Amino acid sequence: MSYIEIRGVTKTFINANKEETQVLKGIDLDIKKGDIYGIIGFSGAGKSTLIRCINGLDKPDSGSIKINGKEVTSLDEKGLMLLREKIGMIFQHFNLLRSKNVYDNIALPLRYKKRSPDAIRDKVDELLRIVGLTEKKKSFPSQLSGGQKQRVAIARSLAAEPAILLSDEATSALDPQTTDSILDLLAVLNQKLGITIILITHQMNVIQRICNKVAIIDDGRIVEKGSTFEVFSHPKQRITKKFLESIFRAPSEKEICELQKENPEDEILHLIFTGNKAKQSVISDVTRSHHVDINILYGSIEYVGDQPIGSLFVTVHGNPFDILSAKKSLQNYSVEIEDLRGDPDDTAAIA
Amino acid sequence: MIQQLLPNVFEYAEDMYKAFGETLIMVLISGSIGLLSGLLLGIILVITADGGLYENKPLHKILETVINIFRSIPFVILVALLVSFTRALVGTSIGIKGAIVPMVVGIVPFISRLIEQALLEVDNGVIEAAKAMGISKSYIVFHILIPEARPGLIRSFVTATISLIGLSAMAGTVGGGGIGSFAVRYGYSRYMNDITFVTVVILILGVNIIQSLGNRVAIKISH
Ligand SMILES: Nc1ncnc2c1ncn2[C@@H]1O[C@H](COP(=O)(O)OP(=O)(O)OP(=O)(O)O)[C@@H](O)[C@H]1O
Ligand SMILES: [Mg+2]
Repeated sequence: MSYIEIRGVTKTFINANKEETQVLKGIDLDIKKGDIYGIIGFSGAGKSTLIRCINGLDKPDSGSIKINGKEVTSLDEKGLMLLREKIGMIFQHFNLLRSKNVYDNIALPLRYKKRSPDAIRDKVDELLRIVGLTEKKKSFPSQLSGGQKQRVAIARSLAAEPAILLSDEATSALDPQTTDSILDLLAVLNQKLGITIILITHQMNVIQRICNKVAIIDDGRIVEKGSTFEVFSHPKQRITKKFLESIFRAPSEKEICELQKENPEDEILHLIFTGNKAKQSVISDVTRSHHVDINILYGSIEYVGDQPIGSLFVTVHGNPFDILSAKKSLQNYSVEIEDLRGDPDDTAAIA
Repeated sequence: MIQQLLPNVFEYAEDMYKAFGETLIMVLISGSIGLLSGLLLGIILVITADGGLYENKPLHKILETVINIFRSIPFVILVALLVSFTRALVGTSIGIKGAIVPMVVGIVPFISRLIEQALLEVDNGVIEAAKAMGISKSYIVFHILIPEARPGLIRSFVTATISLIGLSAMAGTVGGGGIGSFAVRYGYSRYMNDITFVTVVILILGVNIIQSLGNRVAIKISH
């Protein structure tokens, strides 16, 4: 049984004009203790709604969410309050109190729990050390950078020593460098404190950097999920490949169209190599033994955890029979092959 | 020299002090009652609204309607309308006592709206974050919503106090008492223009002092 088990969760919103939109259309997810589980999707896909169902800020219409075997969708107000103390949450816009300084922001959940002043001071000082903001404890949020604000928010979310941390686009308002430092902090919390993290994003590089699992959500459905390595190396859905274009540089549709017009017989392929093959000279082997010309358009090696994944966008030139056998032998090297050529009719239409 | 320019001001100086004293008392008393009840109503307006912490559509609707009704009655008419109510409540409908009742009734709907605006300015994300921490609704209202709205609340108080000075003048003209009635009695009815002039100058000074004090406090507590 998984630590967090989500089954058949649906949610419909009714807007001011009484129109209904089903935002979640039957979500199943299994999250293990210690996972950093990434959920990626475009704006409006239902990511926030899904994550808010986990701590009961939104209530699903149907389906079940179990945390540690305990159903949370049927909890009453009191039960939800207790649950939420054990689930931290951080947000895109930090949501700090402007009227309170860093120390008092972090102390908020502790004061609410009526901890003794000494206990509060010790805890806040410890949290300030963890997020590296001891010097800033008297500063007000308006005097901090975005990254520092998010560190305060993270410290605040940890005050009640949660077992789970929900992150709703926590790095979306930050620059790439700050994003990395916040993600590294989350990874440390995951390793040192064993916190299970569920992280929402629309950036594949966030997933790549810290998530061990990923689910792709599209229009209220999980369309693909698995280990980050598996999804990156063997993407199945079109939308997953679309997201991966930000990781592996890909030719644009226009480029593909033009290549196809120039040499209609050539195949245009995306090859994904994993493991040692990411570094081996597979291409030159195949070129030599199958009498085909392989021309590399774009190529890169990316790491998921410490595992390399190679990506090559190539055109393959030769007689159709040779091309076919070259592809066969690539598959024997267990290279993932995707044909990028559009439907000839489509191409004609574009041309 | 000054005495020649403003002869009546000197002649009626004592009455003038008294009038200002009365206005001060009217504004202070109706202000404290009005601010407290306005604060309460403003909070209720916000927390009972759609998506509020204590969503309650019927209560919200009733409150809105009552506030709108009272806000649409011009103050002079309200004073007249409330005469018997005022008499029943404080025993008289004239003088300072008689003026304070309609002043409170007149200012509370206005303050409620100002307070409502100030509270609505608090970022909803902060409330969400507090809910996500498992913090109770009442704690959120008193320890998060109100402290976060403080600069806006102070500004509302200032605006309301300044409006009250205006109302006190009107209430005074009807019931007698305060700076308004003084200015009308001497400056307007007896053509003592110097009295009108000095009254206006003092009011301008007073309003500006209140406004800049309020602004300073608001800036000081907003970070
Ligand atoms: N409280 C609500 N009432 C009505 N509609 C809502 C509500 N919350 C969300 N929605 C709608 O549900 C859909 C999904 O919203 P959600 O916030 O879950 O998307 P998201 O994937 O988090 O998007 P983003 O990346 O923009 O944050 C949107 O179309 C949104 O307008
Ligand atoms: Mg969202």
